[in-house]
Order: sequence, then structure tokens, then C-alpha cells
Amino acid sequence: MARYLARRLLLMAATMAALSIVCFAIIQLPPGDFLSARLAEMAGTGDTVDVANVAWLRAQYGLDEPFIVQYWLWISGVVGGDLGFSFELRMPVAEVIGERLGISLTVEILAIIVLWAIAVPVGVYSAVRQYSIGDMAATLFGFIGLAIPNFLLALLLMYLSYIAFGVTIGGLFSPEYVDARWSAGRLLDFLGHVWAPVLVIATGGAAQIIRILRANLLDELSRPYVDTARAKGMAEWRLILRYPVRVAMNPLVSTVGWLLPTIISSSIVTGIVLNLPTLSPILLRSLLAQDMHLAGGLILLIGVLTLLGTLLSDILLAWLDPRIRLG
Amino acid sequence: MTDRGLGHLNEDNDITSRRSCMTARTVLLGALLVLGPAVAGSEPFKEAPELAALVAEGKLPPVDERLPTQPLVVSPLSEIGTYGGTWRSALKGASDTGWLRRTVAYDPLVAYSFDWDDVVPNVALSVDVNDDASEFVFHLREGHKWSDGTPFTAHDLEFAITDAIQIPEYFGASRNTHLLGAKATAVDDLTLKIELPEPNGLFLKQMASVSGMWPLMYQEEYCSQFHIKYNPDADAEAKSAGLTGWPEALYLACDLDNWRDTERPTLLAWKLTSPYDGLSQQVTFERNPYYFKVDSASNQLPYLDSLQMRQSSSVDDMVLQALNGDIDFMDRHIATTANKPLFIDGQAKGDYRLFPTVQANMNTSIIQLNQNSENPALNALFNEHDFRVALSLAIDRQEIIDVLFVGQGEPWQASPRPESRWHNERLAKQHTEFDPDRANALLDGLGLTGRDAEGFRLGPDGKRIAFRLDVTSDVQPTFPDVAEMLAIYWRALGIQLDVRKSERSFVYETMRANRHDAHIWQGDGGLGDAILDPRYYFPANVESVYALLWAKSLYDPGAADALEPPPAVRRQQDLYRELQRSADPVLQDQLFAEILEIAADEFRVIGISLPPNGYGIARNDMGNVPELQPHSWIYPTPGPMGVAQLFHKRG
Repeated sequence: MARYLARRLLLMAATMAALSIVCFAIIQLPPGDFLSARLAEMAGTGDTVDVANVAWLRAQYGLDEPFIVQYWLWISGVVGGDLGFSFELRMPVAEVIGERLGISLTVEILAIIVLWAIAVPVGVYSAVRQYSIGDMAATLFGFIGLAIPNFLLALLLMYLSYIAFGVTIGGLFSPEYVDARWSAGRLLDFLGHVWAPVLVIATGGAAQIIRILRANLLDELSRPYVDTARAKGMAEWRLILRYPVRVAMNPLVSTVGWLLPTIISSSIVTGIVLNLPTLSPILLRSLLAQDMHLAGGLILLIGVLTLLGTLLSDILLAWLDPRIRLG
Repeated sequence: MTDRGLGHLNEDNDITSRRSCMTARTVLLGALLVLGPAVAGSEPFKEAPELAALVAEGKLPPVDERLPTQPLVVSPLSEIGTYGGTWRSALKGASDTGWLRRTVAYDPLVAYSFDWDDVVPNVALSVDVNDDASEFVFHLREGHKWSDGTPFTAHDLEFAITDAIQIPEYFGASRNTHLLGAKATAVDDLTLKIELPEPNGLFLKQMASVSGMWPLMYQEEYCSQFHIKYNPDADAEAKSAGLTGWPEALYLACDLDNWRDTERPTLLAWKLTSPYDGLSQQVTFERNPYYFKVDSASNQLPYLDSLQMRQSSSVDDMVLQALNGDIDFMDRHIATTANKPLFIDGQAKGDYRLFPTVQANMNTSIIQLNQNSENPALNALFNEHDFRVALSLAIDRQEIIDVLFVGQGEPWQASPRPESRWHNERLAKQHTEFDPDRANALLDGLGLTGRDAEGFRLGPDGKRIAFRLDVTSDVQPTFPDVAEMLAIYWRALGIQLDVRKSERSFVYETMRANRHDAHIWQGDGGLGDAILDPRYYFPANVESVYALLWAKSLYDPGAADALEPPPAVRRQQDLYRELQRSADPVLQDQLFAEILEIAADEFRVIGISLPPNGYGIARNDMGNVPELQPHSWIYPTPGPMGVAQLFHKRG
């Protein structure tokens, strides 16, 4: 196990190195750089651009260096623990990520809990009561949730809550609580806002889990060991939950680690539409502004989370299913 | 500078007496706004109850000591207001300083009048100008104070201009370029002399513009701590904070572009209390007890206690806030043509109303054909007057107006708006009729009669006449639609327009390198900005991309790729130089009218239609909401109305 882990970690380091080059290169692919994006934006508002000053600024930001030098400056800092400085927000990238990570995690974990709490029981029910009214309904609603783009669902929720209750649910806090300390009132206010993104993210993913679980469970339910257990007089629900469900969960568990990177990336559109103070709108903004260090840092973080998640899944799977061997 | 007293801008003088004492050597700087009676001493000054309480507790000096001896007296747009309340609005994303500069941050030395016709005193009490408009003396108000209670003097301005704005290490990408090369001297505490390297008759108009605010943001005492000249440790301190050096620290703390330092003292009506750093969800301001303006009933302004700007990444979120009545007064981002029906329907429920604004733009879309193109075939065609006229005649403008602008507006070329004093009927309306037959005849007349198998005309080089238009939808979502319709009209002429939707920075990169065939953009320069940004009337600045290389011969003659323009354009540029050397607005108007006449002969760019009025959203309980205010960036709407007079009606 230890050797296996060591080998995986080494491979991860190599993957990260390759990933860092690719992501830095891709961010630089569009013509221009942070300054030209900034200038184009200013020209849009009608501001006079001080063209003479731009060359000096470009040197200050190190944007006039060749790609490889810019990359080296960045990556050597990253390896040393310094994620660099955001050009646009003008603060250390680590600070930006730190500020937003907590809220991102909270929203995403809440969404995952809700998602699994809904999807797993529904999936089990759908398989056990195949072709029943309940199964059909679950499938129908699951697919509707999958088919409606998240941003549209978010817009619909915002509009409906405005029409029906006269409240706007954008953001995660009302103005009076934005800068307040945590209190019972702030928590209630937070819960009054957070249900919308949680619902949007959860409905988007529910259908997939329901269908996977249903298909796997159907395979398992016709296995001889189920008949044997039943013949021995085991209570039906206890039987189902103890054996076939456990096996049917395998594919879900093996992908649970993939949920990690979604902390940043899954809810980009939802995060923007609902104006959430999470990392996803910052990622989009940094890419548009060609804010190299911030965008690079975030993409690198997604990469790390993906690799970590995969590792975590593999370990979890081995623990859940003794038939699986690592090594 | 002998007739200092005559070339004088002063709020106590009225326009007629000014004109009657004009001599050959005096200069009138726009008409003068009469701001009610001079009230200093006539009635005791009044203040907000919160401030009165602080005065009673001894925590704040009395209002008479906080105000300058001659405060600026504001005649409210509609009524005297009452104290209290918050102005709620919204900011989009992390770099929407535009809304701040339009609202709280417009209080320059001299300001635009409401109708944008004149320049009036603001922070400065008066200005003297010499004959050739190269030396400007600003007189400040005695007793004017920063928000920390320390005196505001000419030395602060000298510091800002000399040590902050002009330094080669300046860290921003835009600054007050009109001040570059100027020498600022604090003659005494209340007198600032600015000597320009070259005469600039438009200087006061530029200082009243949105960029005129730069010198007023830097308090010497606070900001000099970030400056290497005043603090030898400044560079080390900045670097230890993770910045590139002291220029960045100075820029972040004090520049007009930055609103992250809540310590910085201010002259503005409200001071920053919660910073705009891109991460905080809300930016807030509270009343500056030392603000220098009073209303005509001697109440110190501002009426409103605080400003609250919610940061949002989504325009939809902002629209819902407005619909729900959570926005008190705003137009930025949300007041689009597409949203208008939604806002009209929601008025009763959200307890707000729509107020009209006059778009300063003179056109919904201007098409610029690159007449300095490096493609010889296109260059030759685009330089044919008749070719440009033919393209213009082939456009069914009324159809575009009906389809894209819900029937609002009228066919219009690149010409100042009808409200403008530079309105030129011929320039505005020529070649706007839809006449495809004449258009075809004109092209035939140019010898472009050969056609290829698909019916496209062949150019002089024997190849199909085709060019491409990279169009961005970021600024106006209608640009791509207009471009697609143009492609249809010009297809009927036998000319191929290849429309590509592109990202904005790509479009700009291409243009800066002069590699574009054509460009489509909004019609800047329709009202008071026409003379300041005449980009479409002759090749004048970096945005004149129909003839960028000719424009360079004016704004950057030393550039290696600058080209000598044809005689008519040369004449326009000479007239503009003459206009810049004159301090006489009457002469300036004459010269500008002549420039526009030549523009009509030349017909270099193609316009589509006059933009309809814009609108904004105001809660029904907001008082002194401006009606039909010009809407622009140079004139940063609603700033020149004096937003300190906005208030919440009681009951």
C-alpha cells in the first residue's frame, strides 16, 4: 500500500508539471496579454489610454519577457509556495483563493450532500420498483433536471422567487449581513440564499446518479446470491441495502473523487448568474482579463484537486470492495 | 497674463457683464452658470442631524468651520432636500470603477454644466487664462478641507500633478494625459498655476471631463508616504507587501482608479468605508462632514448619509435587484433596450420609475473602412469617395432601425447630434437615403463592372471585392446584427462582407497594428465631446481607425509609420491645431464648424442611425432625479448633476 501510494504521488507530481506548462500556455494563447485586454476594456468605456505608458507597465509586470521566462518565474514561485500576484485584483493569488475557498467548499459540499441524499434513495427505489409510477416519475424529473441548463434554472428560480415572494436571491447574503460577523441572523440569512445554488447544482447531477445506481442495482438484483439470501428468509430491505446496493455503489464511489475539482469548476455558470462569492466567477473573470497568475493558480488547483480526488476514489474503492487489489 | 482679471471664470459674474467687458485680449471660457445668490454669511449654515450630534459632543468642529468661507452654492434640480438615507446601487465585477467615477468621484476643479454647454467653477472658485491658452491660474476656496479636517491647498495639487500623475513610473494604464508636460506651481496656498508646454484652448473642457479628477485624489500628506522622493523606505515597504515597487503602492493607495484604501482622505461628498477590492461583496461610503457644497437654503450637502454598492458578477442579478426596488438610482449595465419592457412592467411593484437620458453618442453604429489598409486593392477602393457613397446608399437604414432599434431613431451619418451647437445638416443626412440603383451606378462608374461566377464584382486587381469585419458584441450587442444586415445589403451590390464575431481584445490588437479591413463601433462625440473626441470627423486620434496612419501625423508625428494625409485631411488637422491654440470659444466654434464642413465633403466614415433616448431607474422616493441629462463617459453621467443633491423624500 505504501509503495503504491508513493508511486501514485510521484506520477501525480509529473502530471502536475506537465499540466502547469499546458495551462500556462493555453492561457497565453489568445492574442495580447493582461494589459491589452485591460486597454480594450478601457477603450470600450471611452477612457483615454496612455499608450506611451503601456510599454513601461508591460515591463513592470514582466509581460515583455518570452513565454519560457514568464513561465519559469511563475512556476519557480509556485513550487516555493508563492502562487504569485493577481494583476487585476492586485493581491496575492493565495489570498484571493483563501478568501473564497471556504464559501466555495460550503456551497459545493451542501450541494453534494443534497444531491446524494436525494439521488441515492431515489436510485435504489427506481431499481427495486422498476417500471412503477414512482420509477417513471423519478426518471422524468431526473432527466428534466439534467436537460435544463443550470444557468436557466438559476434564472428561473431568481425570477420565480421575485414574482412569488418579492425577494431577490442573488448572492449569499442580504446587504445588511454581507460584512457582518457570523450570528444566528446571518446564518438564517445565508440559508435563505444558499438553497438556490444548492438546488440548481443538485438537480443538474441527480439524473446521472439515479440512472447509474438503477442500472447497476438491476444487474445485482437478479444475481443468485440475492435469491439465496431471500430463500433463507432475510428481510427484503435489509437484504437489498446490505448486499446489492453496496456493490451497485462501486461506480459511484470510484468517481466520488471527481467531485473535488467541482468546488471550483462545476458551478461557474450558476455562480455567475446567482452572483455567488465563490471561486468560479473569479476563474472566469481572470481568464477574460488574462490575469495569468490568478488563472494559472486556479487551474493548477483544479488539477491538483482532480488528481487528489482520483487517488482518494481509488483508496475508497479498495476499502469498500475487498475484491479490488491495489498495486 | 496682464489682463488676468478679464480672462476670468468666476461664479459671481454673470454672462452679460462678462461679454460687455470683453476686449481683444480677453477670453471667455464658455458661458458662466449663475449659481443663485452668493450666500456666505446671509443665513447660518445647517447640517445633517448626525453631524450636529457629533458637534454637540465636541467630536467635530461646527459646520461654519468645516465649510470653506465661500462654499459652492448648488441650486437643486427640483427641490431642497432632506437629510438621511442610503443610495443603493450595484457594481459589476471587480473592475467597475466606472460607476464610482460617474457618481461619487466627480468633483473636478472645474465642472461641466448640466447641459454640457459650459464649464463652471467647482472645487476651484475661479480660473484665469492667458491669451494663448498656455497658462491657467486656479484660485481655490479659502478654508476648504479634506475629510480628515486638514486644509486642502494648492500644494496638494502641485504634488498630485508633479509627483504622481506625470512621473514616468506612473502605474496606471490611463491618466490625465492633458496634464503631461505641464508645470504646476503652488503660488500660494490658494493659487495654483499650470503652465502648459503648448497652447491648449480645450484645456478647461478637458479638466472638467471625467479624467479631470486625477489631481484631486492625492492628498500630499497621506500619499507622499508612498513616494520614494518623500519616503526613502517607500520602495522597500511596497516590495515587502508583495508589490512591484513604490509606484504601484502609490497608485493603489491614491489613484483615481483605485478604491481599496479606506484611509485616504478625500474631497468628495462621501468617503470610502468598505473597499472595492474585487472580493468584498459590498462597497460602502459615508458622508464627508467637510464637503464644500451647500444648497441654496444653506444646508450642507450631501443630503444622503451613505452609499451602498453591491458587487455583482451578473447583470441579471442587478436587473432583479432593480425590479425589486433594491436599487435607488442607477442606469449603468441594467438600462438596456432589451430590458426596457421588463422595467416598465415592474414599476408599480418595485416602486420605481424610468427617467429619460439623452445619449451623447450620435450613432448606433459607425462603419470605418480602413483607408490606410496595407492591402493595395482595398486601399485603392476605400479611398474612392464614390465607393464609400455607394456603400452608404445601399443601406436600408429605416429597416435596420425597425428591426434592431424598435423603430426608434432616424437615419444619421457620423455627425454631431441635432441638440448640439455643432449640428451640420448636410453631414448628418447626406447619403442616408436607400438608393441601390444609384449605388450600383456609382460602382459601375468606378469601372467595377466585371463580375465573378457568383455575381460578385471584381476589383481593379481582377479579384472579387471582399473584405472582413471583425465585430465584437461586448459594447453594443447590436453590432453583430448590424454587420449581418450590412452584409446582405452589400451582397446586393456585388460586394462581399465577411462578418466575424470576435473577442474585443483581438479586435483591438488587430486595429492597433493596422491589420484590419474595417471596424464597427458606436458614435462617440455627439454632444459636448464632439470637439474633444473628433475621431469620426477627421483622423484625429488612436480611435480614428479608418485612417490610423494619417491620424498619427497629428497625435504622434514622430511615429515611423505615420503617413502624410491628403490635403483636405491635412487642412482639417491644421484647423484643429489652430483651435487648440485659441482660448476663444467663439473662434473655436468657427474652426470646428469648418472642420465639419470638410468632413461632409470628404465622407470618410459611414453612419447608420441616431440612438434613441436612454433611460435610468430611480425609486419613486428619490428627489432631484435628473431628467434628460446627457449620457456619456467624458461627461460622466450622472456626475455633473452634482449627485450630492440626491435625497430620499420622507413620508
